[in-house]
Amino acid sequence: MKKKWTLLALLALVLTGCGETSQAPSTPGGNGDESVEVSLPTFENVALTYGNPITGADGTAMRRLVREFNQAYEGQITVTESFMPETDFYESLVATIPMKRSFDIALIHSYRIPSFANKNLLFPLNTLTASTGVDISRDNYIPDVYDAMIWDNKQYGIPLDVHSIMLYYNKDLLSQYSLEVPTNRAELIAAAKKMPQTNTGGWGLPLSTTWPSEYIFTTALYQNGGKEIDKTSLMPAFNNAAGVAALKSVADLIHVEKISPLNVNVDADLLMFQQGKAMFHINGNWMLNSLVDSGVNFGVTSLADMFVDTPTADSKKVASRSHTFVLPQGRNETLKQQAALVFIKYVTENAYLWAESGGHIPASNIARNTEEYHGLIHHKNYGDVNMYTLNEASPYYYEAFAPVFSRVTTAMSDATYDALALLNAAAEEGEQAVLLAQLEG
Amino acid sequence: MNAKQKLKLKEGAKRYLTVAFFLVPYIVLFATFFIFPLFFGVYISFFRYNVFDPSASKFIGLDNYKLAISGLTIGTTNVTYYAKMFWGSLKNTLLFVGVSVPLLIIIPILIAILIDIQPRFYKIFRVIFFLPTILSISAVGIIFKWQFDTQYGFVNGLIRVFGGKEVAWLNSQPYAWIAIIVTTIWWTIGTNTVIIGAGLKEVDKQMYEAAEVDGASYPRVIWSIALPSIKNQIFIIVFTTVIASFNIYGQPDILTGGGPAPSGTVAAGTPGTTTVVMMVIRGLMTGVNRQPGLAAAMSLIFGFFILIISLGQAAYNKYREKY
Repeated sequence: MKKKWTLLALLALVLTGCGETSQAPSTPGGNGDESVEVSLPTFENVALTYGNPITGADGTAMRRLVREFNQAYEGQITVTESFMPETDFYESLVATIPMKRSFDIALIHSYRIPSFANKNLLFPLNTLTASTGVDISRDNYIPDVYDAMIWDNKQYGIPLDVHSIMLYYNKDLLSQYSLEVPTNRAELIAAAKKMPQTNTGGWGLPLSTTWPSEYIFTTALYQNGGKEIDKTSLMPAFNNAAGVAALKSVADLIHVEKISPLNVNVDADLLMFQQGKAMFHINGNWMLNSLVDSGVNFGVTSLADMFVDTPTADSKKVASRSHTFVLPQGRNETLKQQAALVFIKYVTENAYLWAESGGHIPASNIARNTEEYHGLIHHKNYGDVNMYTLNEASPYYYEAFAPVFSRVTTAMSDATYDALALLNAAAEEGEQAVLLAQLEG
Repeated sequence: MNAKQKLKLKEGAKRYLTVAFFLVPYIVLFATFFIFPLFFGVYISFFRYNVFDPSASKFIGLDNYKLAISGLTIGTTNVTYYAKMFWGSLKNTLLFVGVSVPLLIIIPILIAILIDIQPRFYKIFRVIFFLPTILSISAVGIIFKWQFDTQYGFVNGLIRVFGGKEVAWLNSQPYAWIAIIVTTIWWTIGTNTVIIGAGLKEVDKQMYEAAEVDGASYPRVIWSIALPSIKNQIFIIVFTTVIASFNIYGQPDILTGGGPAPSGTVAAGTPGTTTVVMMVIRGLMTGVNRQPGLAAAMSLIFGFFILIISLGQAAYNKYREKY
């Protein structure tokens, strides 16, 4: 008996020695591992609240992930989920975090992290991930997406996914016109022009002037070598040659190539595609299952090289965002935060379910390497995950960049638009909004 | 104090307590949701108010008012965007009030007169005209957003049937305003119709008969007898409709999102169909970097404007009653 216990102890020591060794963090949020191994605490009936704005079709996956986590950790950790429309959700965060009555865990969009962190609304995670024994490592996530969670040298979020816009195509129409799936702008336009370009006969690529035009313009901006804001000054940086080229590359599809009708409202383009009246459709990967349900025979490919005439080093970039787990400030009980990290790790690593129901791309390499993820029909056509580019981090990102969206709508609606003048007006507005937001008070 | 005095005191106290019992809940709610926010709004309008740490708020005097009215220099930049948006959205609001209020008065009066004739099934018509009023603006907005859709809308479908060219109702001017006004009329005429209808019911029909005997036509009877008889009801609906129209928010927010974006090169002057309330709520009271002090200043300037108009209406009513 004594020998048996000695052997077991030796075995435990050997296994511990073979366990993951710590690495010095290469980025401030980085791997987060210290040189000392830390084991997980024992959880007993730890109750967590979790809030998110996931109310669409992908909500089914989120509910299922929470349910399965609660089953797996029964008696240890219980997560109660609350979900609400996006606007209400962010308003609730802004109202409840200062009162220390917010959720224990929240799922927010990545571009909001710097603004929330700047107002001290989020709990920095780097020391927490290092000290809790929960193995959340940068190595296990898409690096650029993971790094986008860092603001002011602190990590504030752990990414669940990266989501972006895709080019959906009607397989039946492509077959009817003996066309291949386009791989660049010239092929896309040539294929789209085969359609009659009438409401009854169908259009090549109907484009809504309002949504997701902000994603589309941002993608065009990246592909033309531009950027939304200046990293140093945090001011708008899109009113230049790259911005003009980007705006024209989007608006030209309507006014010059004439493969879209004018004045398409939000979702009217989606409706056309679902009814088989559009050869191509641009929308988020989150619409994947909605299109599956519509019955249209479709495929999906990336938007790489679709907004430039000649491919360049930048032309494969596609504007993206990430749903990101954060810990709101004011709920700073260590045991609960450790339990929250256990939940976050579970969800991110099982996010193939999220991909299946929501069409998203899991940020976790572990999730993307599962058999279930590899079995998803459409995800293999999304292309290289590294092309999906998140925005430049700034606490005033929305103030600096949002003014351009109405000008994109103007350019898409009015063939006589003056691109540089529109962008200059947006940049002036953005600069003034940033200046006001930066004032102390 | 004798027994009679005590009884009188007791009855007085009982009466006042009964009154207080009914009034206090309303006063508490009124104070909580109107009086306190009003004074708090005045207070924060002089601050760069920090919602996350109120103690860090900075007193800035009239800077928020300057920002809203003419612009303010911050560093080396003259920040005029907020002033442009405020005056532009005020112009939009006045345009909406000027066009929609007459329609929201005249159409309910006409409908109420027709219903007062009591044609067959008039009770059903009365319900039909009132029904939209019970819907929420969200439902109404979504319904009409699709009715006015360029490709899929019922309105353009009807136009195509008659051989006409489709109209970009929600994406171009002046059609965006027409869509908003039509939606507003459909949604809100019910209440005014009921108020006018109630007034017409009280008019002595023998006066109509007497006028008709004297040879007056029906329109003449309406103009000279019915309308003057319901002038108090008309004043009420004018007063309430003007106030309600100044506060328009839901219809442009859902139908056009504040657009269409101004064409050409600049955003100055007329920001689409954005109204003052929209500007304040969407532009200044959402997001982490919100500006509640500026929002309060704009709201107060706007409220002062409405107050002037309301006082004008009240003065006119007084003059009308006198003469």
